[in-house]
Amino acid sequence: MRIFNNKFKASLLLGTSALLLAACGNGDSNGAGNETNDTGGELIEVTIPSYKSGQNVGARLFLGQVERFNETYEGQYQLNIEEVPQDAYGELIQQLAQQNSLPVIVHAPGSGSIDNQWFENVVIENNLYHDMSGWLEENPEAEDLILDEFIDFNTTEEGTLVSVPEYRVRSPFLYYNETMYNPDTNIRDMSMEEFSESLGENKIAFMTGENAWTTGLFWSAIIANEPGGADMLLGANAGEFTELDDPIIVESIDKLKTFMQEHGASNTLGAIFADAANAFMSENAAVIPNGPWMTVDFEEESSDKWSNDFHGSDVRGDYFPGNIGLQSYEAYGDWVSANSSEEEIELAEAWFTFLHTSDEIETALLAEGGQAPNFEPSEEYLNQLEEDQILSDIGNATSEETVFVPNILDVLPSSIGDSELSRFLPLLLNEEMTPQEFGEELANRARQAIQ
Amino acid sequence: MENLDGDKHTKMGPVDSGKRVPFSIKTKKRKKPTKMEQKEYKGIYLFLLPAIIVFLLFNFLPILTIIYTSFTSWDGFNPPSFVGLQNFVNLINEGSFLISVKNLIYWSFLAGIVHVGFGVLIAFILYEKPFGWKFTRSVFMIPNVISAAAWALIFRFIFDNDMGIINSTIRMVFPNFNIQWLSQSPYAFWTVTLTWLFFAVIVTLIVYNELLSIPDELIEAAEMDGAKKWDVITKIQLPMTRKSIGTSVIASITARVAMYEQIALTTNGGPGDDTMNLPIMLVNSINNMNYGYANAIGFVMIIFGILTLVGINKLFRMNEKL
Repeated sequence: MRIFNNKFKASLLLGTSALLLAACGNGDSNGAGNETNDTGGELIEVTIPSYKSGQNVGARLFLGQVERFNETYEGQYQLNIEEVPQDAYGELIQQLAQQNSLPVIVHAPGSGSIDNQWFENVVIENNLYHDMSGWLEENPEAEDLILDEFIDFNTTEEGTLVSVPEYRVRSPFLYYNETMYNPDTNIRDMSMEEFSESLGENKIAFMTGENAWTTGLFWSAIIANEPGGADMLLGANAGEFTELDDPIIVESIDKLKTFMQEHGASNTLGAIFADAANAFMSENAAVIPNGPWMTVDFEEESSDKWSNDFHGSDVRGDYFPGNIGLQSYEAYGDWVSANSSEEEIELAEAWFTFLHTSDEIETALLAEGGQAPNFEPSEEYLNQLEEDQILSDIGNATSEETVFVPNILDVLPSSIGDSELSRFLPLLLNEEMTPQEFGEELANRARQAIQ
Repeated sequence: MENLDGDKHTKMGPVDSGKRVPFSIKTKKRKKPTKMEQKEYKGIYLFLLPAIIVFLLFNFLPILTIIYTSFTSWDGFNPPSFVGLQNFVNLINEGSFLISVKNLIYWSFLAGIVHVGFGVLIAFILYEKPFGWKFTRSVFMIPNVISAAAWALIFRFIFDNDMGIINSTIRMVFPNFNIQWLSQSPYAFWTVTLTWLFFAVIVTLIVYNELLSIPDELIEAAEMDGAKKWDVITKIQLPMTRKSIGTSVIASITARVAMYEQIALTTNGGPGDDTMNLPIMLVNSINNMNYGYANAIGFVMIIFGILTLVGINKLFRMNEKL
């Protein structure tokens, strides 16, 4: 009886364990990244993971686009979004690629998303993308809008188009609080020295935590102002720039150090982005470098982030001193995975066609800023643009004389831009390292990183 | 000398009711299990089978993969290509690696001596059940229910130069006090250390339970023979909790080897490489799509863990009976 009981218990536990393992291992046959329902040839429904959801800064535009797309194609296409944290998105896509279960539509590689290098070495190298050149040919209106430089970069030697290239340029710039800092001349018309002088006691919201984003933007502008600096950045391949010990870069590091020591907000050391944004929106800093997506923080709906008499309507925008904007044409766009079915590709192409309609382009430009050089805006758009002071400032500031260079954080190897830079900045600021030593240390690490 | 069974022996066994019971130190021949025992063993093996399968699939195989791919150049997607010891050579030549190992050694000593020592001390205090011991025990448990990531963020605020409670309090007396605890050498190392050094609740629980299992009669007998409190602690309680203390040391040191959140969310290895450790290096390598190199770091971590296990086992004589 005892033996029978023991065997019974063992069998019961074994069976339960087996069931649990099977239940945990069970998943959708399409994989976690791609769920498709095709209800008898009519509605094509796709679910994709996206970080542009929830509290993410890109959610406002993206979710609105999804909603309008679903309304426009009601009964024909349905796009659903699975919320994924931005930090986890890149890793998720990499895992899905290994399982051959990539979602139909994947967000563009770049800062905050999947790695450029991974996209090139894995997706392009192994033809995991759907060639979008057919879609481009079938949509001449979209082709006219898209910038040629982006098309060239996204086209392989075989003539395939790896992703949907950009139609707009979204350069980060300087936001400044005009109640604290109101220069006589435009910032973009100043040199770096003039800008430093005009700041006086005013502070800039730098970061030395996370990926030192705001510091990296400003540093890029300093490099671009150095003789030969702009060419260095323009000649750098994304993720492969290692010449941080070059005299031009060392000189820029010295100037960056001076700016941070003289004009850095009080919380610069150790500041992550939230600290830098808080410094600006609590009037501890008068200037903050950031992308056009930050404009949403200065709308009335975001007033809970303001303090110390800060008001969003006091914020203006301008390019960096020396009329420098930050944009690289070596950028990939959203892409379609090759393991998608015909119906899914049909939905994806309809989605991209939808995004390139006039209404959607205007909505995107008003929501996230940027310039679309090949786009003819409507009067209504121009009127609405005038109502957004910051976007209007940048729109008026953009000219043929504006020099666009890549952001240094985008051309550095990932680990340098994401981690090493922010770790060594405190040593530079505390005079524990000279600019030369700083440049050499990072250069050595960058070369090791790309081995 | 022969014992009552005729087996040869050279020692006498333990005292039992005043009569020494002889026993043989020769190992008896293992009897072949009976059919009934064989059937029972089958049940036991079946019961263990799921755990063994899970271990093999989710622990053993990944470890083998790590070891194999540490000798390859691998981007995590395309097939790995064998490069021999190149990853390890590159690792040794990387400045961050030597600093990481140095930090790991420091943290291991601090974990083994201060962290475990503090946990043992609290266990012994709680064992005495002083006034308020239940409340103290509950409060001491609280850090354990908060994740390491949350603690790291809490510490970031506590040690913030502008608004942190530490500096704000000090500035009440010294208004010009200005130390960036997490961004300035050499403070960053010690600040990060403080995020775990005194949170020894697991050690306390293990040792406390071991203390409770010591028979009261032993201590009473010792006290009747004139042993003082210090003698009881040093000659009975500490030796009898030797294995649990050894286990705690192993757990504490291996936790330092794998420590990631506390560093990533506070200093990220900085300033410079002051708080760099192997997991941070590993993650950076993964970000660079250098999985072979990352797994070489993982292999080094495994070796360190094994050495810790073997070393502490010997030091605390874990395989010897009490």
